[in-house]
Amino acid sequence: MSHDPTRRDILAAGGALLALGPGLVSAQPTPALEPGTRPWFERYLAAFNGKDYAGFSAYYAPDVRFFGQAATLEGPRAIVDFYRGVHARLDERVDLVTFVSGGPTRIMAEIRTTLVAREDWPDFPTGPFTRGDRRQSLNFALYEIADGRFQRIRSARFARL
Amino acid sequence: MEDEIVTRFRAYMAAFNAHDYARLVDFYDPEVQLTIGNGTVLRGRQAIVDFYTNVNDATTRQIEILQAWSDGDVLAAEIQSEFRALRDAPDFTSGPMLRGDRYYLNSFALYDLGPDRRFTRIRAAVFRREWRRLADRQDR
Repeated sequence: MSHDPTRRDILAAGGALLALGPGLVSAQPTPALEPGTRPWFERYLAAFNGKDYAGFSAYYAPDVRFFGQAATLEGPRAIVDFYRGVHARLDERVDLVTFVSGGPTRIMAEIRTTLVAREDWPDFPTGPFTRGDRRQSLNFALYEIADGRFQRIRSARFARL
Repeated sequence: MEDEIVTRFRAYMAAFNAHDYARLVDFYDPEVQLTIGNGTVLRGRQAIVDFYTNVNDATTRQIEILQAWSDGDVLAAEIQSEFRALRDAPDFTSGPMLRGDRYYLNSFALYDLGPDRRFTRIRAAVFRREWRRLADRQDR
């Protein structure tokens, strides 16, 4: 028998979502934004820049594969855990330079990444950081999308700035 | 049905793979800029033709389009290039090659389009690279 959700139901549902762990709440991006469009993608980047782990990981399919400059990862939790670790030691910002939509199934984006070290990180995968170092690069990233979520993300460095 | 820009891109790659430079240049805007793998920017049609004529003297390069699409202003493509050394090529841009060696690049490329749909700027970033040395293959 169905019924309108009570306050208790809503609280219980919220508790279940929280039990998934921070950054892994499987909320869909707002339906008003069509997957594969620029506004939809810009919101993903804004969530990333805002360290909104739940917001940006909502764009990942459960079996997402991520091939970045600094790591190869599988699954939303692994990506979130990786970036939590990075953001604890570096300030990272991504800016969209060029965006080419291939409809709801693929995107190519030119992204300028800026990293600023808050502490020394001698064994950072793409090269050692000393506190205060600032590093910028242009990267071409290919996002393959299935059912409105990223299934595979691959990034290739075009240039160090 | 495939986008007209992508169809044109396939024709461009066919001309490239056939070393048909007379046909190739028509795809480029006269002021085209092409950034090659080491960051060098080639400016103008002739600079590109000269560069590839030189590359193709020692190696042959075949490009396969894995996927391509366009929004009308920019074409995005994932391409796979195979370089094969026709003779020893100690000065090959990505490292010395011996005759028979092969070098593979998986790249993401952006082609900016002018009003007449000619390429005004071409940039590619290498996602994966792989050497397949003739000596390694013969050892197996």
